Amino acid sequence: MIKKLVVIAFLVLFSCQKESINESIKYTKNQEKIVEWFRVAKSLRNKNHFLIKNYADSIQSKSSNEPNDFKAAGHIAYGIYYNSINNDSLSFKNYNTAFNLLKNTKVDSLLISTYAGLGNYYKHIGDYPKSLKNLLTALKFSEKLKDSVLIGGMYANLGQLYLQKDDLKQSKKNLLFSIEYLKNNKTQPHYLIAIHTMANLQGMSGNFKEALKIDEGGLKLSEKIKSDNLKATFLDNKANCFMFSNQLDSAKYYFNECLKLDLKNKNEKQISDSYANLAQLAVFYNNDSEVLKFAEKSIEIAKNVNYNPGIAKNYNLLVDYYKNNGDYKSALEFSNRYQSVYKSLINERKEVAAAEFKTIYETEKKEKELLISKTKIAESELQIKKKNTQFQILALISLALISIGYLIYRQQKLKNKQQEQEFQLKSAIKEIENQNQLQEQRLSISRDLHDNIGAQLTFVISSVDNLKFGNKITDTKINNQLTKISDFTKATIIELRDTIWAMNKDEFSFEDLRSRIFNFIEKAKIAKEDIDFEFKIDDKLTEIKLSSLIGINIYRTIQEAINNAIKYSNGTKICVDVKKINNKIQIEIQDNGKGFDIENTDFGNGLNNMKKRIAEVNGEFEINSIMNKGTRIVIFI
Amino acid sequence: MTFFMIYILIIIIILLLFFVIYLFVNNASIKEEHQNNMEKLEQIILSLHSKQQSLNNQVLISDDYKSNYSKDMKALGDEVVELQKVFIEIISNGNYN
Repeated sequence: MIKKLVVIAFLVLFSCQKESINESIKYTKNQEKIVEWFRVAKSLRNKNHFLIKNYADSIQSKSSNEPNDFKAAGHIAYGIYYNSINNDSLSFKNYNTAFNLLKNTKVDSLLISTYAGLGNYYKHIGDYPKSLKNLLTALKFSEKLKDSVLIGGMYANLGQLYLQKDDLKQSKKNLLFSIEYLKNNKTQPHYLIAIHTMANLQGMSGNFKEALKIDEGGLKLSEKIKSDNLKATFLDNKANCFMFSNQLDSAKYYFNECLKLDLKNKNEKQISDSYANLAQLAVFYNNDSEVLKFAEKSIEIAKNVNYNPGIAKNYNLLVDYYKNNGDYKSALEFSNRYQSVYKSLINERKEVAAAEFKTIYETEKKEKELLISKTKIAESELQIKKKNTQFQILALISLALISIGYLIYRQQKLKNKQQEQEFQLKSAIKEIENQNQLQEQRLSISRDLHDNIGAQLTFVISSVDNLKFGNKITDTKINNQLTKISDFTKATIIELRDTIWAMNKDEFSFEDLRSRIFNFIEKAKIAKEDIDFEFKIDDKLTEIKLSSLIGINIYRTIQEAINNAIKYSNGTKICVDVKKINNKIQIEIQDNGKGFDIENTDFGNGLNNMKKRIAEVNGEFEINSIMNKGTRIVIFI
Repeated sequence: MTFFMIYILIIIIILLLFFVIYLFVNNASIKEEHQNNMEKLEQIILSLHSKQQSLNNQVLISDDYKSNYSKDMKALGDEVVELQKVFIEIISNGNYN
């Protein structure tokens, strides 16, 4: 019965939880799933522990990357599962892990579950101070939440604890608190547990009538919520009441009903307990065969599942049974077996406790080591990250510095190259300027010289004319000679003037050249009135600019050609035709004189000079002459 | 490395990048300036070359005149000598007035 009370206590405990981990927080989809699974796992605690395990597995797999609260929910779900299959050590281990994970949490509902789970574990192993401490802490958190269901559940647990301690007064007080808090939630499993414990207390106090009344109500409620586990506890309680109030048939009926439910639920330990109860009942019936039959069955099942408390209970029963029958030998034998099992039970509990502590210690140690190694890994990752950042920054700075260095070097190189180029050009300019200056000096001297020559020639002409006209010279020979000298000097001075004209201009237009040639031809006309002069120039040429050298060379060539025609051709017509042909200037000087044999005639200085002048300005010179038809000179510039 | 240091280094990198951009721009402006200078100098050289050509032409004309002048002077000298001969011939014949 006590075992069933403990089971019920756990059921009560976990029915007291809130439905979510923390309702004030918005969850992610994954977190919402975990909360939902946790809620379903808790709701299944009285019905299907296999499904509880499935949900616990799911919660644990999904909460690996979630905060500690969600991981703790997984461990609490495992705690519920291991508790439902009566594996106290694993249940404790999971609650303890959940407790460690929830050290810094503010989720009170999870803390309540954890403290209550630990409290019930300690209650089960008989460590009442620790149990009381944990349950009171759970009660404190429940009161903080002002949740009457949770508070009622905690009082029900405390009632069970005091009942186990045989403190009936305190137990009743807590159970009454529990019933008071849960009076509006009678369909809640923890209310059923509270009234079941109260019925148990009444039965232990000899108030079987009251106990049976409470059990009857409990049975109805447990049927209403379809909880076979709870129903079995009420049936068991009722049967015990009937048995101790000597209503053996009723007790037998309810024990059998209880056994049916246990067999249906396939709970071996509960089945073993039910057979033990039936054996106890057989003692009351004085039915020796049934006592032995049920006791052996109970022992067999208990041995199969290593349920030593069940074995001890049966041995104790058999000791009393044999003692009452006067079979002291058998009584002694079972007494020894009982002592042996009891000792092993004590040792087992000690070993379990030691193993638990060892597990906890090793787990904590491993967790610490894991934490240290994680910290070290995190630190080394941080160091690597820092080094990477440093490297990246330094690489960027280096790149920037290299770029700057290269650009400065390139800039300097470019400057040097530019300076060199500019220096070369400036040197060339300087050299040209020097040459020009020198040429200008030479030209200046030449101009002075020309002025002197002009003055001297004028003096010569004047002196000759004075000599000629002042002395009334009658000698023809002298007169001719003086005229010759005067004409020669005049020709020289004209040549000088032409030279000065050419030197005074950097360039001149064809119009200038045309007027100069025209003047020359007009003078020639006056000198040779019998010759018909014709001078034609293309209007398109007037805009053309010529350098002084080209201009003077063309002028002198035309002059020389006309002079030659006047002197040697004996012609009556001299034509000068200047025109533009294919971007070239063509100058044609033609006479209708006697002509000459080009091949057999030795050209004098005049013709050679003409050729030389035209070649000097990159022009072409052609001369054609036909005997008795005239001579034609063509110049292309 | 503290956040402050990273902050400073990032500022340094940004400043260096600005300096790199400045150098690029400066390089481009130096090139452009040099191009302009070179164009100006080439213009000057062209102008001077043209002037030099002109001066050379004038020198050639002058030299040509000098050459012709010396020939003319020689011819004039010959004519004067011829005249002197006529004078001497007249004087030696004694029929001068």
